[in-house]
Order: sequence, then C-alpha cells, then structure tokens
Amino acid sequence: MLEFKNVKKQFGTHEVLKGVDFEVEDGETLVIVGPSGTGKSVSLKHMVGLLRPTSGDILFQGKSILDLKGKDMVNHRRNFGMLFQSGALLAWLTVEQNIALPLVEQRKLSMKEIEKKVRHSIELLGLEGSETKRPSEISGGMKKRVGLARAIVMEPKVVLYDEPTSGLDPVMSRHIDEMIKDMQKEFGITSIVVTHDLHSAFSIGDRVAMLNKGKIIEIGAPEEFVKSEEPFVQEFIKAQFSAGYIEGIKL
Amino acid sequence: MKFFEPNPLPEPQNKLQALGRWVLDSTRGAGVALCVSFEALFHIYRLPLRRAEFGRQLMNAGVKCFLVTSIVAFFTGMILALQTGLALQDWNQENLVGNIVVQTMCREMGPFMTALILAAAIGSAYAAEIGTMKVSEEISALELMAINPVEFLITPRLLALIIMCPVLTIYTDILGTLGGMLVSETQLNVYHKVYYRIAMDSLTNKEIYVGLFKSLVFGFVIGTVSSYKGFSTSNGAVGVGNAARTTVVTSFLYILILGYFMTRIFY
Repeated sequence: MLEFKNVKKQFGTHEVLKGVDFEVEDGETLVIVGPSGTGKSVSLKHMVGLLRPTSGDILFQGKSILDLKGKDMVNHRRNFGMLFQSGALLAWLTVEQNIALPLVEQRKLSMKEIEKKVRHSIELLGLEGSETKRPSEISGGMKKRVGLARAIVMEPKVVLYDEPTSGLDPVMSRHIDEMIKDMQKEFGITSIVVTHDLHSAFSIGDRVAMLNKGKIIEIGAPEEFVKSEEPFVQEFIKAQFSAGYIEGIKL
Repeated sequence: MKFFEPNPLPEPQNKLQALGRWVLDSTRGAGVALCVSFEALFHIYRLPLRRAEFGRQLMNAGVKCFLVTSIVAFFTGMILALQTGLALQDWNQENLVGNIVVQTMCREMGPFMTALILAAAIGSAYAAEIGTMKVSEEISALELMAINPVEFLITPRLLALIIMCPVLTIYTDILGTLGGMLVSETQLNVYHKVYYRIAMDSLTNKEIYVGLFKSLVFGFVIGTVSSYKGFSTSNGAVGVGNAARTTVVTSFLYILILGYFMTRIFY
C-alpha cells in the first residue's frame, strides 16, 4: 500500500534520512521505533507530502506521490489521518469543533451528518462530557484522544500515529494502545505508528522497524525483532526491558 | 508550506559568501512574504465562511487597541501643539498651531503612530500565535486536513489589519487634533474656535487621503511581516519569542522607510 524507496532527506547540511526502504501492507500495523532525532516523525511527514525527500521515491497504492500538486495532493492527504505528538488541536476551538473541523471544511456533508459522525467518534474514544471544553482545559491523554478522534472522523485508509504515548503515564499509555487496536478492529485501517516505547510497539504492531541514524536497520514481526542480531536493537530492547521478558516473549 | 523549509544550500565558508547568502535569504524571504500575503488576499471571496474568525481579528486589532491608541494619539497631539506652539510664540504666530498639528497628524503622525501601536501590540501577537501553531504542528495538522493555512489563518488577520489601521488612523487624527486644541487653549492662549478654524481651513482632501493610503500600506506591511515571521518560526519557545521580536523590529523599519518614500512621492 505504501512504499519508501531509498528515501533521503537533508535539512541544510544535516542529512536526517540516509536511504530509507520499507513497505507497508494493506490493513497492517507497522511500528517504527528508534531513538529521538533519527527521522521517525520526518518519515511520517513524507508520507502525506508535508515534506519532500531530497532523493528517492514514495509510492502510495503503486503511484509516486512526489509529483502530486494542488487538488491531487489534497486528495492524497484525504486517505490519511494523523495523530500528532502534541495533539495539534486548535486552541480557540472546543473539543467538538476540533473533531468536526475536517468535515466542516470539506463541505460535503450536512450539519446533521457531521454532528452524527462527530458524536460517533466522541463515543468511540470515550470523550463524552468534554465536548464543550477547550484544549487548554483537558489533560494530555485526553488531547491525544481528541487528536485521534479528529484523525479518524474522515474515515481514512491509513492512520499515522506520531509518538501516541509520549508524555503519558503507563496506565494511560496502555489505554491509548488499546484504542489503537480497537481502531484497527473497528475500521480495518492501515496504521503506521512512530514511537520509542517498545511496550506499545510489541503490543500493537504486526511488524516493528528500527530506524537508527537515518536508516532502517531491522524490520520484522515482534518475535523476529527481539531476536535481531543488530547490537543497537538489542541495546535498545535491553534498555527498556531489564527484566528480560516482553509480554511473554523471552529475550 | 514548502517555502518555509530551511534553505538546503551549504553553510557559507567566508564573509563574502555569508553576505551573499544574507542578500539571497532576505530577497527570498521578502518574496515569500509577499506571495503569502497576495495569496491571502486572493482568498477574500471565502471570507464569508470565516465570519467568526474575521470578527475575532477585527476585535483584536481594533477594539483591544482602542485605549492605548487613544492615550498615544491624545498625547502626540498635545506634545506637537506644545513644541510647535512655544516655537511659534517667539514670532507671535501661535495662532497657526492648529494648522501645524492637523497637517502633521493627518499626513504623518496619525498613520505612523497607529502603525507602530498595531505592529507592537497586534503584529507581535500574530507572529507569536502563528509561530506557536507552527512549532506545535497545528499548521501541519491543517495541511493534512486539506485546509489551506494561508486562507484559514492569514486572510482574516491580514484583512483585519488592512481595515483597522485606517479606521484607527482616523480616530488618531481626530484625538491628536483635540489634544492639540486642549494645549493651545490652556498653555498657548489660543482660543479653541480660532484653533479649529485655522486647522480646518488648512486641511484638504489630499492630507486625509494620503494619510489613509499610508495607513492602508502599513496595515498590509504589519500583516505580511507577522504572517511570514510566524510561518517561518522554528526552534520551539525561543523561536516564538524571536518571531514576535523580529516582527516588531522589521515592521518598524518598513513603516519608517516606506513612510518617507510615500511622503516623497505625494509631496
């Protein structure tokens, strides 16, 4: 469904992505893990055309997205929903208005239909009672849930999650993981999750990829990933799981 | 917002290259800023869909600056009247103070003082607001939702400044003239009816139109600079503070320089 072919990205003199290759299958959940500053979020932004690679190609449903402009890019982006790291909610809109924003701006549905869809998203993510609150009045976990509600309200084919559990306590993090799995079951959508939380990665991912120093150094199912011979992968795993067990997978 | 991605050219190796890079970056920045503003103006036809946001921005730029504008305008007129009046008294010409105050207010000080207030109070706030949205990825979120950030954020703000700058300038001209009248009456012994008659006799349509034209340009400049600085914000909270500061400094410089050249063209 989505493919990165030797994607390189340079900001000024700093090369962030140094030839990234991977493919995401339809309906799959791919989790990209790695230390901070290795280009995980930059990779996500390339998928929706928010950034352009310096070289390489990105294919969506077999077609390159690099030449898309204007309406074609808008149509491409409508296939995606994205949960941003900070939620990226507009401060002057209420929770309800934030969720409804993409539908209202699309101007294809009546207000009644929009209200129905927004209500469904609110119920799905357990946001009842917070509809009229502004982002400054809700907790970090709730902001993520509102961001997720806004991401799925357009019923996208692919949902991108940028650090969905960062800054949250472990209970809320597991709650968000469950919600991501529920989204998968409810809509059967393709998910690409960027995180440095291996708990989340092994819990929600069909496959896990390790991005380090601008390159994918390991990719595979969680069971294969933990057996990787890459020293950095092992170091990364051991740093998070000192007990030696990961949800039933023995290291 | 690909225009706002960092310049991919390598770091300059010597001072000559650095100068060349500065010239290139400044020219590119001015070009991008103007493109963004013209694109924002192109989307005016969608303004009815943004009534609420446009109203909020008119409120910010107009009503919230009302008190500070009143104080600045009144005291500017008073200072002008006092300084020129005291000088004119040496030649027993203090009756002409109304002429000088009203001409200076309408031609120069009205638009100039209003623009400075708007640049400091509103331009910096716009840059900080848009800059915060940039660093907290709200602008990226808008783009991903297929919402044009220029139309959504800049059009209502730029238009609010273009409208409110001339409106506040008229108000500044009137209050400044009244401030001058108060000082003339109490400090210079110029009867207020004399002040008023001389002021009105000297005032022509040209003074008013040129002053309003200047304020229109200044409103556009403040909106353009603040939008550009906001959109090019990076580096978190430090970058937001920097965007607000450079918006005020850059706007002040453009207001001064353009103000001179417009005066030169019209007079």
